[in-house]
Amino acid sequence: MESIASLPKRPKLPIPSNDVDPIDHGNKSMNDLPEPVVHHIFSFLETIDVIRASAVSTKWRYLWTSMPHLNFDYQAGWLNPLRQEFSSTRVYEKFKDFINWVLMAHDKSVNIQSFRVSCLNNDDDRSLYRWIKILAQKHVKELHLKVKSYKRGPFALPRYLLAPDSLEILELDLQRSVLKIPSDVGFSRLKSLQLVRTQLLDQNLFHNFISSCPLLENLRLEGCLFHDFKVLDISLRNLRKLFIDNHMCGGSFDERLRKCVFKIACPNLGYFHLKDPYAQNFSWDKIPSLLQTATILPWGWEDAVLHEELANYLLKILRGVCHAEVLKLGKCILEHLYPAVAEPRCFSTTFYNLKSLKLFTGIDKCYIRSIIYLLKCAPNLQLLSVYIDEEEYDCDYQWEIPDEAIACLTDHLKMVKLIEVDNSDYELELIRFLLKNGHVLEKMSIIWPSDLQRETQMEAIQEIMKFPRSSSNVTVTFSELKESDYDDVL
Amino acid sequence: MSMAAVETKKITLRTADNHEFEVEEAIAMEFSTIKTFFDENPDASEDTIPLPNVTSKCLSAIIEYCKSHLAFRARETSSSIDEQVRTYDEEFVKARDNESLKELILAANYLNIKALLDMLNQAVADRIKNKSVEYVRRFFGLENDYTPEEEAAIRAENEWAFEGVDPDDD
Repeated sequence: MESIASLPKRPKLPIPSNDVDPIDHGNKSMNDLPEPVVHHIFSFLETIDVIRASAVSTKWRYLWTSMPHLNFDYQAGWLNPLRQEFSSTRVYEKFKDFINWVLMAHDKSVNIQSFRVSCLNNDDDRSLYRWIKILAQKHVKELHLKVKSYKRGPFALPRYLLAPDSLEILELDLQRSVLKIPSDVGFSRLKSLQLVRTQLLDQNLFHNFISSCPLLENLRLEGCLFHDFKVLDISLRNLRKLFIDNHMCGGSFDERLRKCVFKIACPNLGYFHLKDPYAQNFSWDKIPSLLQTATILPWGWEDAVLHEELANYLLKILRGVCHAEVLKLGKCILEHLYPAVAEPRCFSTTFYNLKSLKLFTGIDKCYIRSIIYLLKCAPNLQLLSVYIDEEEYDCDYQWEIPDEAIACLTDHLKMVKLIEVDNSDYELELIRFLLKNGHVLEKMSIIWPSDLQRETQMEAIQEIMKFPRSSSNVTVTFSELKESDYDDVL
Repeated sequence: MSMAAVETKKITLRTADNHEFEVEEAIAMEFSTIKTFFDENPDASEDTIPLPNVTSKCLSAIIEYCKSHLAFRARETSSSIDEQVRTYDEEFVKARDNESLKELILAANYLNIKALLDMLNQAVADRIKNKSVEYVRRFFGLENDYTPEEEAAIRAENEWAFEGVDPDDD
């Protein structure tokens, strides 16, 4: 075998400079982990752990001063001994002193990559703003703030954060306080913005702010309140992921959003998640052609909304996601889809790229018709998952799904999964229809709800096994509900 | 690209203890160090790549890890897959002692396998989180080379950082 020495020109893999003699196994310890690796390990820990580690050995005495990741959590357990001794005000003072000390002693030549803090923001306390000022000077890239304000006082995003303009990731959890956004500013390097439990007061400020972040790829609005917004306008050229989930806001919130119009113009959107109360209107100014996954779970009190209005709203959202490869749709879409489609002004969108469809549905003629309709709109569908939400229905023993050839059933649909199937006629009819017309079906999984009697299961199995199958190699499996079956969809 | 016969190209790696491993190209490309090497030296792919810093025990575990993760990634994303990945990662780390973790970290660092390194370093962080100074010392095999006065001074600077730690369980 040729040795490396005989071919001096053969390129070699680089060898790290602070490496140990590889065959020497006598040195059995972790103390030869290179500093970047140790920093990486400590980046997963709170700064208090890193400070404590400075007492481990002289080697690590000043490790924490060059740690580019800082992490402080006021709620964490390490403050408990203090809490037993001192009042909560005093404990918080010590917590702040600790952060001040770390920031002051931190190596001046080392920039901070990420700063995480879970703290309070009381009215006359400027500490948080002081820390942000220091971080801005240290070119912080990632800022994760979880701020609790007892009087729900506002948090104002400081302008000086924008000066060095190093910020790439910003996450704010204001625990329902108001976020004051500066006007005429934006972060030129910001890639990801996450606002959790934040109240936003001014739609123009918000729109201008996000529009002034040209590199924004990821926008996440979770549990936010949009006060008096007439329009929620998200027009961002580079946005890849948009996640809007405000369904847990409660109170009169959904009333407020009822008057709002959603406008989305994000041509490069790849991932869209909407779980929000019904708004007044929805418009896609540009339909995202690169869309891969879309999840639409709209929510609200239906008594407050006219059915036609709601149907229009839902169909508009649906039209915009016509390029998706994976689609997850909530129950109310199915409830309103078929009736809307039956009207002369019909919904004629085709989902050409759709490979996987996950539906959260009731089980009733109307829902089944909607499901069949969607199958017709998705000629290349390969996987169908249907999560059944059991509810009252009128039995119609004679009803059959009208026979017809559906493109995806004939050519592409390989796998069907039906979750929480009861022994109802409608569910059996759907199964019968799919088995009869699914020519290339390979697998059908039927999953029982956890409270279904064994007898009922056996009855259903007997029925199902009698259904004619057009696919020669389809296996039908029956199983009990597992936790992992369910969190797939929501 | 020919669609007929899919040739799985193999790369040969030689470890510190002179064992040779043949791996599929897809797996070797998970090692960024090797990927970069091939990008810069495209003709070198036929040769055996020496890895003087990696033992065979280590490399074999790393290859298993990369194979499993490639398989997970090939399947459709869903939370049940995420669950399986989490379980796999937990099992991968659980039975290993600190020494073996360290070897894997050094190897993953050298081969530049980001995902594995993230996972291993997080696992080590979880093991030392909120533990006493003595525990961390033992864990990393470091000697206490402070004088008693120096150590006392450090502890005094932030005395409550040293209380409230979890009891040592080793």
